Amino acid sequence: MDEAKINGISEGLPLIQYAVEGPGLCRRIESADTGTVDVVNRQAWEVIERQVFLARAQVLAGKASVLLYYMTANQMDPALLAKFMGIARWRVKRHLKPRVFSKLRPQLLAGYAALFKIREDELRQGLFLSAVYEKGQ
Amino acid sequence: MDCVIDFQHKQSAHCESGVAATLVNHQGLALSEPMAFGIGGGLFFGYFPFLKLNGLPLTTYRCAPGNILKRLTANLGFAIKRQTFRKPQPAMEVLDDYLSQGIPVGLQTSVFWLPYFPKAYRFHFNGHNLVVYGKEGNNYLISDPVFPMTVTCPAEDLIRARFAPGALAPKGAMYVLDRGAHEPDLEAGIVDGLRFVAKYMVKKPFFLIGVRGIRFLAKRLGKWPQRLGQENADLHLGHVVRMQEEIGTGGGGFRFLFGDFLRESSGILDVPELLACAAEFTQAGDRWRDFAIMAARICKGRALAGDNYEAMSAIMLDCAGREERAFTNLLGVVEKLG
Repeated sequence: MDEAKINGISEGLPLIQYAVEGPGLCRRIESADTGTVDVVNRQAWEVIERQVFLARAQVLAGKASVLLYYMTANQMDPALLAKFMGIARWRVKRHLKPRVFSKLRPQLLAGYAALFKIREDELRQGLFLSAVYEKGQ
Repeated sequence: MDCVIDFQHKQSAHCESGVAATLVNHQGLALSEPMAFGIGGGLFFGYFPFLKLNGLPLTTYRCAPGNILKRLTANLGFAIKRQTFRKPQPAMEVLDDYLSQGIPVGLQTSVFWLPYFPKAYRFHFNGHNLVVYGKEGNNYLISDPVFPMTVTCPAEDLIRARFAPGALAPKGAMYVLDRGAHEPDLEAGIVDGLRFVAKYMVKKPFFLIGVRGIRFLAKRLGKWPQRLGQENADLHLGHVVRMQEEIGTGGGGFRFLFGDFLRESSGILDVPELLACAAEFTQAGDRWRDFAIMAARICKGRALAGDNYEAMSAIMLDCAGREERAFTNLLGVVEKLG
């Protein structure tokens, strides 16, 4: 996130804005200055980061399976995750319990791992790896 | 299958109007992004507290995704073929098929799964638009209007982006344009676009949309700290500002973009009155900007003296007043044009 802080949320990518040029005139400009937006974008990410922090604490305390961490880090809730997986929401909620998760069918585990772009064994071991959007290209 | 279509990429402020403009350009009609936005009737305001995005009420400064393309093509007399799919495989096959015929394809996607986006933009937002203009090996060649250069995306990621579930799920939506036999009537298109937007902003009797919607939100927003508590109020406020200023609005909640459309239209139609209207929208955009800047200071915890929710409410009411006058004038001009 440090890099984004320095360069703004667009990471130095020039964006198009229509800015005021003279009295009543607008014109296309390129700019990487996202000052105002940086603040509100940052605010949205802080909410996500706080949720991820809480999720991780719950997993570490043994109150939830590591799936809670990956779901939260990838900005999903049980309903959205269920849609991605093509299964019912109550099943996802069950999989959030450590005891159910530890006995999960390999097929389902592989499905979750593929969705979160990690390896199946990494998910089984309960590692805290970065979310999909952290990986970049 | 490798193929590259000769497609002119152009960076734009907003994804849908950018895609619309480049696809129309590819059909041999020169059209700028503001023109595509305006003829497509892109400007709007709506506050829908019962629809939530990440648990926050939906505020929008433009029409629903997909409608700019729909109205632009309708107003210009272009044929647009839009398809959705239930399964990824046929969706990718049809895409490849168009590419091999040399036809660039517009796609609706999620931004979360597109690896070329900077991290900060990667939310589960499914209303993004881009043009695929080729394929090399496993990579699709993409003209994404938000980016200065063309980009590439691996097939797996593009499949994910096309079939992301949730709000506004694209369901693999793709569209191709065909110019048809008729010469497009730009002037009639401009008038249709203007009339459409102006009617929605000042003539619709529903309290959550148009100028009435702005006033409604302004009054609500003034009471947010009391109703929601300071922290939650700031989150709600930040969300409104993001919808207004974040990537793809051209600034000022699309008002600057719309102003530029009026300026260009004034020349095409040879109607000087539209220039005065353009100035009014630019000024309205400035006021929206003032609102966003004050809001950002509050969200950052660096409020200056006089920065508070009542003051922001007042700025927004001022925006509503300016836009009401501007759209009423605009309707007058449109009626004279017939």
